[in-house]
Amino acid sequence: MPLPDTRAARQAIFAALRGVPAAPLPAPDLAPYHASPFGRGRVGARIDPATLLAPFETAARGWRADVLHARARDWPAAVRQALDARGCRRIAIGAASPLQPGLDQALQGLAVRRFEQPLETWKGELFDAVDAAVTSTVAGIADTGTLVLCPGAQEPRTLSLVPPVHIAVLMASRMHPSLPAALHTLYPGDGPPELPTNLLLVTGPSKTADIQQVLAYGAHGPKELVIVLVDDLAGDTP
Amino acid sequence: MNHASHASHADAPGSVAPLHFIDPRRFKQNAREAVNDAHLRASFRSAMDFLQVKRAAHFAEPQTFESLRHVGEAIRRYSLSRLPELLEMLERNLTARGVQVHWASTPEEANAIFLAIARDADARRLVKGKSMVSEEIELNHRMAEHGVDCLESDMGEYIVQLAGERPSHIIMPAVHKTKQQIAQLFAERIPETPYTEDVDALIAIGRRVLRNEFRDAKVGVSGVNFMVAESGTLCLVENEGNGRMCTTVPDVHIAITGIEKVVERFEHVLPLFNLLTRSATGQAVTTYFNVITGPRRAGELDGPRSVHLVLLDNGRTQAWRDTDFRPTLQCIRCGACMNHCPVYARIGGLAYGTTYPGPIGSIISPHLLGLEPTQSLPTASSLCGACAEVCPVGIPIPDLLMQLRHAARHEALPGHLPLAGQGEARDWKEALAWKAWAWLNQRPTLYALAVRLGRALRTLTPTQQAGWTAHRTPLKLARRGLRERLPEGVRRG
Repeated sequence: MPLPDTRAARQAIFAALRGVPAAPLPAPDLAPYHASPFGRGRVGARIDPATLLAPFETAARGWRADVLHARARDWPAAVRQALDARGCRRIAIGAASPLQPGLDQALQGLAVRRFEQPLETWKGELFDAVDAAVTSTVAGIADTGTLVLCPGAQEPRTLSLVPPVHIAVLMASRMHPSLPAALHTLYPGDGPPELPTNLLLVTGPSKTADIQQVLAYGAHGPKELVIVLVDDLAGDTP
Repeated sequence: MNHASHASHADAPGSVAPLHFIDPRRFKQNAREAVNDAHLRASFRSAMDFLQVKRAAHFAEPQTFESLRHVGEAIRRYSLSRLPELLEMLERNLTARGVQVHWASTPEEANAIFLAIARDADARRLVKGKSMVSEEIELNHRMAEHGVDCLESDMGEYIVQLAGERPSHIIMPAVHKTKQQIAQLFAERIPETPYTEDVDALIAIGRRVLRNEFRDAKVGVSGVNFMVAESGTLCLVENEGNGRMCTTVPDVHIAITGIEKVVERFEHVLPLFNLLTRSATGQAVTTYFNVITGPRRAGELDGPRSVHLVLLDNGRTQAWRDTDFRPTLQCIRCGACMNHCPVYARIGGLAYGTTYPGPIGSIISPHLLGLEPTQSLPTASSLCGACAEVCPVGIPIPDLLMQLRHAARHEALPGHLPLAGQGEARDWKEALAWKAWAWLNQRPTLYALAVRLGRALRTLTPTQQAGWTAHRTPLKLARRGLRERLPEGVRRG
């Protein structure tokens, strides 16, 4: 069945919109936003990530995410610890995870499922026979305890969505105070950003308050979110 | 069909009650019934208090809110001022990234597009994320008429659909239901489900049932919170993850939204997102902010292979073309106006009989449906102004309510095009009475005579005065007018 030709509706809508003389307003001034608490760190000197780790952890825990601290040389052990503590044996990872080679080291002895084939060829398995997924993150937002994920061919979108446990590895050096500061670092410049198919902000595990405003976790996405926060700031000396 | 074969299975999505329509023409009667429903009153009162307190915690400093709102309002006003260009830019950029853009003037046209896409994908079921615009076109209902069933997957929407009702709040659709009612509903309608009032257990039931649907669905449907013209991007805000499921797992994703939801730049979305989550549920951020730019690209292993966007007018151009009514379209659908409305808190969302209830519903519905069926809605306000005070994008809701009250009873003002249903609430008796009043007031001698006559006949004042005496004591002329009671020196003329 061919899809309907909607050009007539398009024409009618534009005729209605163009029937009124155009009177464009000047572009909005975002400077007050960037200068406000919501825009912390968006302009001016980069705020030292070391000062943001504690606020990030507090905020993330406030959303019921677990936060584990690790050093750059031993984060795989922290990932493993998070998985073992939850009894996760079947682990999905991206076929070309930016966390390699450390990730393979973390998962030794577990049933590792690499996301190498299109989702439709193993949907049932991902939905029903995977305990956890481990992914990288591209930024953290301290004010709200938020992770920024940039899934793609190397680490598909469903990894952070379908398995009941999501382990996310965040490098401390990628910590920003606010949402605009984080996104401006990822997409600098004044032109239109070259956005990936999916850019994702994740704050805590999936939740709902749709029944009598009672907060319940694990609505449709992961029931648990574990953030492995890797201190890559001061070299590797304890 | 698929649905029937599931019926005896423990993980079937549940049997859905037929949709119960409520007519906005019966608003006053609906409101009266709602006010007398103690359960409903209690549900809404506690929910509204909860939402008000949570929001207030984020805006303890009035200045914090004012400055952020100022930016949000400027972005929305700017975007609307350039709407035609931004829609063209959006379409160009979406198309360049492989999204198929469809336009619909009416709900019928929008439904025809959905049906054609469903048929093309050979889908008997659409799994849906939350979308008020899909409610607006009555998508579930219309698809059912053609043998395609729609399954709501937002927990609140799922509950409302099982009950055969409509959402009573745009953010918390099942806010009118108690957990006992939901427990009963699940036990009755979802096979092999025991009665439980444990909220975690109820959510786990919903999760189990809907998870299979996400896995098996060929087509996912979603709404859109913001569209970005410069990059051809769709942004979705949610907590549950069902929106991500619907937009990621099925092979086809259909998004539907109103033409007004576009902004020019990605950075314009950020303050609006900050405002939306805080105003809606008092959260600094939602669990997910899902930013979608096109279908699955070469080399990617998941995500829909085709993405469609249905852009709906349905009366929005009528609001847009009149600069007085254009601010109606600034709305980002947070629901703060309803959470703070003394009328909404007492009658709930269903009494309005429209997709969008509460103050925002009373100013948008007349454009979507015309003033004939919606003429009572703009009167459902004490004009206390709470809605305008909390609106994160500065919509002057009370002013718009006043203008719609006027439009319902009068011809369009000079320089304005008539609205659909303009003057529908006009009552010739009332109009004549006002005309006579004006005439009399312009003739001092006659006026004085009429007042004297009225006083002489004071004792004959009827005790039943049309609608007035239903809730009030009868109107009666005073023995001595205010003018006569004033000291000599103060009187004029």
